[in-house]
Amino acid sequence: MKITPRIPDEKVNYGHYSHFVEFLWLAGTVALCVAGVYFAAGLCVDWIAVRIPQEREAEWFPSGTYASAFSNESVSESAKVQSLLDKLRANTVEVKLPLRAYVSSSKDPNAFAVPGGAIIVTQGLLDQVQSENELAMVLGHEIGHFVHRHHLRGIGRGIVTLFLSSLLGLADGAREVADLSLSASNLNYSRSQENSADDVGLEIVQKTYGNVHAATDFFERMSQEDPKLPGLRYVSTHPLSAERVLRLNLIAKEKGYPVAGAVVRW
Amino acid sequence: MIEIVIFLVFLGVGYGAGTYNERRHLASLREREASSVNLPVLSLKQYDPNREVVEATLVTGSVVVSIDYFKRVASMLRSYVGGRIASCETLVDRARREALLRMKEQAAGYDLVINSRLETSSIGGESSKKKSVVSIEVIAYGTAIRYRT
Repeated sequence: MKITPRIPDEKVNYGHYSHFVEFLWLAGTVALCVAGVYFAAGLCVDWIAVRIPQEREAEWFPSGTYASAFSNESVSESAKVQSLLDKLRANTVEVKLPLRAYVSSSKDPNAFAVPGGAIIVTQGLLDQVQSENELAMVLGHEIGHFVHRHHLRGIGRGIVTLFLSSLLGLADGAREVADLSLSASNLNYSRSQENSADDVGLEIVQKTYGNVHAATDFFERMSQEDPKLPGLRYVSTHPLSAERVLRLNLIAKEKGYPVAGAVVRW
Repeated sequence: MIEIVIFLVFLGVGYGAGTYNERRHLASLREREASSVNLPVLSLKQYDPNREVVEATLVTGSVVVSIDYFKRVASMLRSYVGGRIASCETLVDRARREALLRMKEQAAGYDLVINSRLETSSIGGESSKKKSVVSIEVIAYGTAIRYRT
């Protein structure tokens, strides 16, 4: 047996290749997949949000816990607004969760529905309200968003994660995701969502008072263009124009809601 | 934001240092392999049964290597996609060659090394939790023998 001295060929175990190029390829592939999932989740948000039943929502967002996340100012409960909300809710069959009312100390007139069944109105809005009828319309509008599950859209992609984790039975992690996603949410509704919420609001007012007198007064006042009026801030989150008021009047006429009635003082 | 910058800095340092080390090590390996080519290393239990063995001694060479940050990130990304982790392949191959060369250095003056084996073990990998430094130790060992002249 003969031994031939030979220098081993190093290229067998590692051919000359570039670490850098391989890294770029890997990073690119992984980034592409992540971007794809993110994008797909964004598309799913609308589809999923509308299909989440109220019971599931109550599980993920214990009532009232997240009210503060949606308002930059402090929130407090208000017996007066709560009693009005309860009165309206009694006339709405579709609401299965207890709705809690909160008042935010913000001076901008605004109202929004929060996942978990809380409805927040700002002090600025209460200052502008001149009758119980119009406040009932505003609250009814928010109840409309709640019933149609529009407010869950605001959480965005977090809702997809919640939905998937509930499907897979991982309930615990859901709570943390709910916390995270609520801190960066965005409550802009599309026009059709606003319209359907309006319809529900009008119907609630009709059922509660027997007429829709003065229901749209608040919107009419807010839509008058005067930048100095605090109403402009309301307009920016609830894009409205005279169209909205006209539309509501038309629907009242179509459905035969009596327009004449008494103004209930707030 | 600052975390991303730190990450990129580490990545750059890892890549730069790693490439520099690799090139330097490869040059050293080639040179030493060429100069020690006349000392054969075999994994056979005996080479020439007709000749008398005058001296025999155990020789070992060992080396501990660790991956740099760049390689670590690359292997992590690779773990999603699967396939050859070429960045670690080069490292382990160099470690093996280095261990063998160190064993040969211990066997200087002998005729050849028989019954040589290579063993690899990881250090700090399993004992501590996942985030520890992963390094491996390669040992080459064999019997250096001298025949009667």
